[in-house]
Amino acid sequence: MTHVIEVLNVHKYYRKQANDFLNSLKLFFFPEYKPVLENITFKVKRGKIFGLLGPNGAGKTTLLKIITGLLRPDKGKVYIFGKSIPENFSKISRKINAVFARANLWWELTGKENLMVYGKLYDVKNLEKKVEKLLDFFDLKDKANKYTDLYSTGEIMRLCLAKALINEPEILILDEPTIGLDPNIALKVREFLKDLNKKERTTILLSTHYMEEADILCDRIALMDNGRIIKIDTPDNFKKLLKKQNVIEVRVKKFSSKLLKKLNSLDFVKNVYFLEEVERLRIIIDDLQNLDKLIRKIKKYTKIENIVTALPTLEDVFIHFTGKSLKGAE
Amino acid sequence: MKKFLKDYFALQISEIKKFLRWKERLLWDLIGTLTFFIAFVFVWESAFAQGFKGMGNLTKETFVTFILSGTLIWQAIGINLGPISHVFVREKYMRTSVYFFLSPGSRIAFLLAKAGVALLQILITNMILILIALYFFEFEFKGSLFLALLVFILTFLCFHGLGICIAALGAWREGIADFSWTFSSVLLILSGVWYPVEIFPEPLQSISKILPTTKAIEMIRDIGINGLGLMEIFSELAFLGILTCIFLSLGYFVFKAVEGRAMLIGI
Repeated sequence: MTHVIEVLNVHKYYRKQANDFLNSLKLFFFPEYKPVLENITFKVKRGKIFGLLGPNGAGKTTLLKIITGLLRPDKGKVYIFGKSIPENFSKISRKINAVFARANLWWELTGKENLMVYGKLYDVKNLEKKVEKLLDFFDLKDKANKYTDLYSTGEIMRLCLAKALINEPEILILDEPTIGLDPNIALKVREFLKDLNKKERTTILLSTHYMEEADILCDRIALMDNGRIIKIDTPDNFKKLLKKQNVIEVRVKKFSSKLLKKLNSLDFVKNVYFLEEVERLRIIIDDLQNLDKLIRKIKKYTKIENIVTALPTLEDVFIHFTGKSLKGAE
Repeated sequence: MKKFLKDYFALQISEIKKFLRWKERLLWDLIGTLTFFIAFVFVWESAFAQGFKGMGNLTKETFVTFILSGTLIWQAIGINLGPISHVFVREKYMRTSVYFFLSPGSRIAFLLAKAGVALLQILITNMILILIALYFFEFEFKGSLFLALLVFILTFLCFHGLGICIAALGAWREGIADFSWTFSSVLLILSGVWYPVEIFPEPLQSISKILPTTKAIEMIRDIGINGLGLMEIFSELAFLGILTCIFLSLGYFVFKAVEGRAMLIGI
C-alpha cells in the first residue's frame, strides 16, 4: 500500500445560521445548507509532504478535521492506512497525530504534565526521556514546569508540535503549523519538519496560507478556494505554468488605489496588487505583447521609476487560478 | 482492560493536578456550604427556643444531624449539576477536548476521571464539615457509616449521570449550562436540604416526595437519625441503585450522541 491517505469525493455541508430571530426560526424549520467542501479528492503516498494551500475560509481545517475523524463527511470516503475514517479511527489513532491552529492543550497543567498525559494515552515507551528530548528540541525546557496558559502563542504552538510528535506518528497532520510563530522559530519548525520527513519517512499533511511554507516543504500542493480543490501539482510544476515574462514588477512615483483599480479593469491584466514591503506593483498579464499598452496606461497616472520581469511565485499561481490574492482573501 | 486502567489513572492524576491548580475553589466551596449549615443551625435553634415542636425527622435533639445529612448529600448532587457541567462546557470553549478526542484515550476513562476528582473534592469538604459539626455542634450519627457512605456514593453516581447529560447538551447548545444552575436551584428548594418537606403545601409535597434528591436525603436521615439498617432501607436503596444505572447509562449515551452530532456540525 503506497497511499497512506486517500480522500475520495468528500463533500461537507454546514447548516446556514441567521442572526435575527425570524430567520433563525425559519432556518430551524426549513434548514438550508451551504457547501464547505465540494468533491475533494486526493491521495498521499507514504513519506511525502502534501500541502493544502488556500486563504482562510477555503475549507482546509474542515478537511483536516474530517481526515482525523473529528468530523464526518456528508458524502465521500476517507481512508487512512486503508481503513475507513471515522469508523476505524480508533484502530489507527496510535499511528497518527495532529496539531490544530485553534485547539488547545490543558491550560491548568504545565507543559511537561501535558506531554506526560498524552504520552501515557499513546502508550509511549521511555516517556520521561522522550518528553525531556522534545522539550529540549522545542526550546521549552525553561518553561516545562509552567502552566500552559502562561505560554506565549509561539510557545503554545511549539508545545502542540511536541505533543504531536510524542508517539512518533507515521502520519502527522498540521493545521497552519507556523501561524503566530516568530520568523526564526517558524524557520526552525520548517527545517525540523523537512528533517523529520527525510529521516523518519513521516508522511505530513499540512494546511497553510503561507506560500513560502508550501513552496519549501511540500512535495505536492492542492490549491484550495471556496471549499474546492482547484488543482494539485508540485510547486515547480505550478510555477512553470506561468511564463516568467508574464509577471511584471513596476515601481511608480506615486501609488494610488485609483491606479490599482484602473489597471485591474484592463482586459489583459489578470491581476495586480501592491507589494508594500518593496513598494512595487506586481502585475500579471496574459501576453507580453500587451506590455506597451500597460506602460502607456500607467504613465497616464504616474511616472514609472523602474520596471522588471519577475519569477512567478505560488501567490501568482493562486491568482492565476482564482483571480484573487491569497493575502487579499484572508 | 489494562489500557482502560492505564488511561484512567493517567487522566485521574491529570484531573487532580488540574483541580489543585485552583485549590482555593475547595476553600470557597467549604465556606459557602458551612455558611448555610451554620445559618440553618441558628434558624432551627432559635425556632425550637421559641417553642417550635419539630416536624418529621427534625426535632430539638436531631436538628444538627438533620441539617448536616441534607448538606452532605446535597454536596454530592450539587457538584454534578453545577461545576461538573461547567467543566465540560469549558473544555469545549477552550478547545482542549479536541486533542483528547484525537488520542486513543478511553472516553469512559475520561468521564470517570472527571467524576473521580469531583468525588474527591466533596469527600474532603464533607470530612471537614463532619469534623466541624462533631467539634462545635451536637452532631450524632446513629446508623452505619458504611451504609451512609454507600448511599452517598450511589447518589453521587446517579447525579453524575444526569450531570453528564446536562454537560454534554451544554457543550452542544450554548446556554444549557446555565439551565443547570436553575435546575439545581429548584431541586435544592424542593428537596428539603435544610428543612423538612412537610412545611410545603400538599401539592408541592407530593412533587417533592417523588424526587430522587428528596429520597436520597431522607434515606441518609433515616440512617443517621433513626438508626435504620440495610434491610429497612433496602427498597429505597434498590430504587436509587436502579436510578443510578439508568442515569449513568443515559449520561454515557447522551455523551456519545452529542459527540456524534459534533462530528456532523463541528466541535
